[in-house]
Amino acid sequence: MISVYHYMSVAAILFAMSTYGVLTRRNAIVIFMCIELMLNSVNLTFISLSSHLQNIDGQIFVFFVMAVAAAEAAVGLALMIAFYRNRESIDVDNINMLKW
Amino acid sequence: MSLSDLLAMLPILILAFGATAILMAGAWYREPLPLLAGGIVTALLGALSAGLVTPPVPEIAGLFSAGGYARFYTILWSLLAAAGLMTGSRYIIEKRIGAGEYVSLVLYAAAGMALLSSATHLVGLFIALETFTLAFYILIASNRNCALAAEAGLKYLLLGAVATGFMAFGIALIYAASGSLVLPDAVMRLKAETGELQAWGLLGWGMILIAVGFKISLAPFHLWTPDVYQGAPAPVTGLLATGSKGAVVAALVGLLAMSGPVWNDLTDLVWLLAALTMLAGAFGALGQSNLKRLLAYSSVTHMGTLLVGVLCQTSEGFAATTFYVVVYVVTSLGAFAVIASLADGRGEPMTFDQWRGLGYRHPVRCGVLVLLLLSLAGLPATAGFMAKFAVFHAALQSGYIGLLMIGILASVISFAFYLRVTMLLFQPDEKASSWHQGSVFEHTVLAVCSSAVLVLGLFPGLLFGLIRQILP
Amino acid sequence: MNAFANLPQFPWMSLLIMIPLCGALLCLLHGKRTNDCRGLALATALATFGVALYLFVCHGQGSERWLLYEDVNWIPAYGIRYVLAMDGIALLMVLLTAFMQISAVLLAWRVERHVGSFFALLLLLESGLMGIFLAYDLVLFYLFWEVALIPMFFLISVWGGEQRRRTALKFFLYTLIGSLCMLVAIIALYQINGAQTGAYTLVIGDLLKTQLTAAQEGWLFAGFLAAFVVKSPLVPFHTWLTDALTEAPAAGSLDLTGLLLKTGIYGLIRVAFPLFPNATADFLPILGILALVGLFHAAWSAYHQDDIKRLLAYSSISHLGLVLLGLAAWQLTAWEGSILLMVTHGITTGALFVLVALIRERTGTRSMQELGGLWGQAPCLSALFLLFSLASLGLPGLANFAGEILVLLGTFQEHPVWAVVALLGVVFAAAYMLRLVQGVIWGPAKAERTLPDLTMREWLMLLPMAILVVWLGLYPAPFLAPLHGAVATLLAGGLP
Repeated sequence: MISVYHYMSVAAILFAMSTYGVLTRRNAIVIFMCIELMLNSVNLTFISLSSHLQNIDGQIFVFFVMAVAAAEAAVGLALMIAFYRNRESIDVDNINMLKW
Repeated sequence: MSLSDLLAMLPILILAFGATAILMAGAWYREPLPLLAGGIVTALLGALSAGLVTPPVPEIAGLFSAGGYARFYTILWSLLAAAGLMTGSRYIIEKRIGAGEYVSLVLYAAAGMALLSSATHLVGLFIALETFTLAFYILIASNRNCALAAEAGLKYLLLGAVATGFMAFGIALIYAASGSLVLPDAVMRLKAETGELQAWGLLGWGMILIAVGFKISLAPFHLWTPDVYQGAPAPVTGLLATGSKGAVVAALVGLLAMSGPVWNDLTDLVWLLAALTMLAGAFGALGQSNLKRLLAYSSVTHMGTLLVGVLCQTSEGFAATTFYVVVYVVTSLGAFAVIASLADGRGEPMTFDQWRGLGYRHPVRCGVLVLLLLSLAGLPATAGFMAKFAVFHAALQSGYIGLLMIGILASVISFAFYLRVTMLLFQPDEKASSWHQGSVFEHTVLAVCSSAVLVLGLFPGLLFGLIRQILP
Repeated sequence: MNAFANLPQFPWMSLLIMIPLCGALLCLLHGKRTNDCRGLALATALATFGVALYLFVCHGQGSERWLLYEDVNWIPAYGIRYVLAMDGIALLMVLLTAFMQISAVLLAWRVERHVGSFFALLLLLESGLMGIFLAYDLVLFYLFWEVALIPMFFLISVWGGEQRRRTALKFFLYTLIGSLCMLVAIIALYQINGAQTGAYTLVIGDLLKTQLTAAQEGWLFAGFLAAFVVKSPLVPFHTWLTDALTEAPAAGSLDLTGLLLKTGIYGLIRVAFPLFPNATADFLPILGILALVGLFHAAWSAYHQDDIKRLLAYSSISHLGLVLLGLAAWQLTAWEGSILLMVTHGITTGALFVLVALIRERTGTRSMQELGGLWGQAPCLSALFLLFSLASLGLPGLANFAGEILVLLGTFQEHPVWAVVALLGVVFAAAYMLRLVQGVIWGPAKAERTLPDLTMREWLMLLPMAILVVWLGLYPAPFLAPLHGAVATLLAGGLP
């Protein structure tokens, strides 16, 4: 029997992996994908909890997270294009005009 | 959602719909001044409606409160948006930035901040936080031709998105532990239950604390602050430094005041964060030679001091924190408005070499800057002193003598760097060049900020009385 | 029965604070018109002095605890009140401040750069000083304490000598660290008292009843002491003063030595000693020893200076050592002497600073090696220099003598050894002052100079001081009269 704990374990592992990716990857787009993965692990947690607790709130939260993730992706990609146009690169090592 | 809910939301609706209308109008009319005027009027209308219209229901859709505390911050953030538009007016005209976009984003941000300060539900907290954060991502990089601004925007975006992830996961853990997303409810259930779930809830609060730490730049999550402040245009930095941080602190205070001592298990951690933040800000600022970076570190120190007030978790502490937020917003906004008002074709005066001797070229505005810096330093007769006095008194009352000492130490150090700037301004330097004379809008903001600093410093009783009435 | 007794008291003390403040604002607004600023500043200083003189003449002889008392609720949320209270000691200090400020304004007449701002800061400083001497609520006191600090910082850092920036920062940080310690102590005392009585207050008179444990009292007293001792300055903490006095512009040094230094001692008398009697009792012997060390150390250093302004700076520290010694004796006569000495020292050393500034203006130097023989070149100036130098070393019949003799007499009754040692120190003072006179006005002229003698404006500055120096030396009674009651009350309420 797959219990809520299994779902949550998967979500936790996903979250940890994506956090690790954010910290180590150098390409801004890959970092961004890791962040999306983070949010999706949150979604997984909420959906499993929502069904486990018989409480609709969790599912509603998922919709908001999705909306936020989409908005963030739109803004983020636009920003990356602006950055690329100025610097010809999206490597975070090149985010160096300002002291990091 | 009934009519009374909508009426209770009136200020937010005015801000959001006004923003949308201006965004649409901006697509057709490229003339910036009418759009700006529209934006300022909308913001002022939002503030007026929050002050004058009595909400028919205390809570909106179970997500946001419409009580006095929420209204108070709605007024503050609406006024902040108006001030942000005023200081940004010359900037968007000269840099040819779409006025419709700029105005609407500032108004959206204000709506988001107002919602955040009134959140009573974790979903509301999350949406509100994201609303203004998204607006700020764009605002920071609004000058597309400036590589520095794009870099600052990207940096803020990456870290902000990580913070969002942590926030969402923290909320998920609290949901797991308590089964509820309504704030007081979730806290009650957390306290009632024991065992495994309790630990999860604690972990959730810890993760939310990390996210909050990113947003209000608590050490060790503060490293982005100077970079982003330097890269962002001064009018936006003014909003970012004041509104985005103040709204988060306001939400924390509101949340803790509503739901009792949540943090009893986290006290030591928060204590450490506050101490570290105050010292990191003070020491970080010492080595700076760029005014915007210096103000960034100064804001880090102030966030540490604010956290002391929040940590107390007494009504005294909450009142002090709220007062401090207002004072910090007014002072910091004024300081960035001075920078914005001096900006001309060469950009903004930032490095100390550019500021040297400027006191003789622009005596009035540099005098205002000195006043604001002294208020940030906490000199008596300015608002900053009363704010620090209130917070330190609350800390002492709650027995945090160690934090009080660290706060005083940070104050001493910060006096040193504020004074360095002050001396720099009045150092005789024949080479000092003249900067822009500033527009009427900018001078208005400066006049309001500096008189508010003096009035709040000499007669803080007015505001304290109000705050004590509205605290939930 | 006075017909006006039932009317609300006229806020004379607020007037003393507000007149200079308004003058400062007006000067700032009229910064462009140099002559207007000078006139305005002088008018302000004169008006303030007029009020102070009126208070001295008409309210100076009362026998109540407070000659004047103003009390307005200021920040009810924290129980902070706007309380001003004047006893005999405060009255004398206020009178001294107003008097010296006239000279300071006249001395600043020649300032060329940013005249409006200079006078504005000078008047703001006066306002702050008046506040310090009158405030009877701790937050109000702290407020004025800092308000007096800021203008001095700017006066040094913008109009000072070669080393002005470093000196200004040093001055500011020394005094600031002290005053922040005081702030911590104020908040702590406020909290302890509030927890005991349930009514939060910061009025000194109400805080007197606070029950403190020995440890609490020691720490709080140390906090206040940090602020006052640095300002006084007691010996290990005095190094900022010589630099600040040397680098400050002439009018700034005048205010610094004549008035600002007194705030530290005044703070001890008015705030620290009454609030913490037990800790004071433990501290007095240390204070006495440190005061003696300061007296000798500063006298010794003064003797070896070549820069006459620096010499005067050390002589100030030495004199204030004697003042502190009088306080440490905790005896009526010694205290009255100390307070009188504060006033007379303000006048004599202040006048000497004025004269040094005038000599510097005329010759371009302050080094004793390059000066000398001024008597032949500027007889009136030299005569006044001699008069004030003699007054400063304590020649009988001139101002400082009265104060010094009272201090020594009073101290002798309590601690004979201290008094004898201090007497030696006074002899030392004679040595360095005579060396100063010798080096500046006697001897061969080091350079062929044609020096203009005193102008009308300079006579106006110095003559009132000269008259006062003689008057105070011959007949100090009118100035001692208001002190009796106040000092007796303080001493009686003091040590357990």
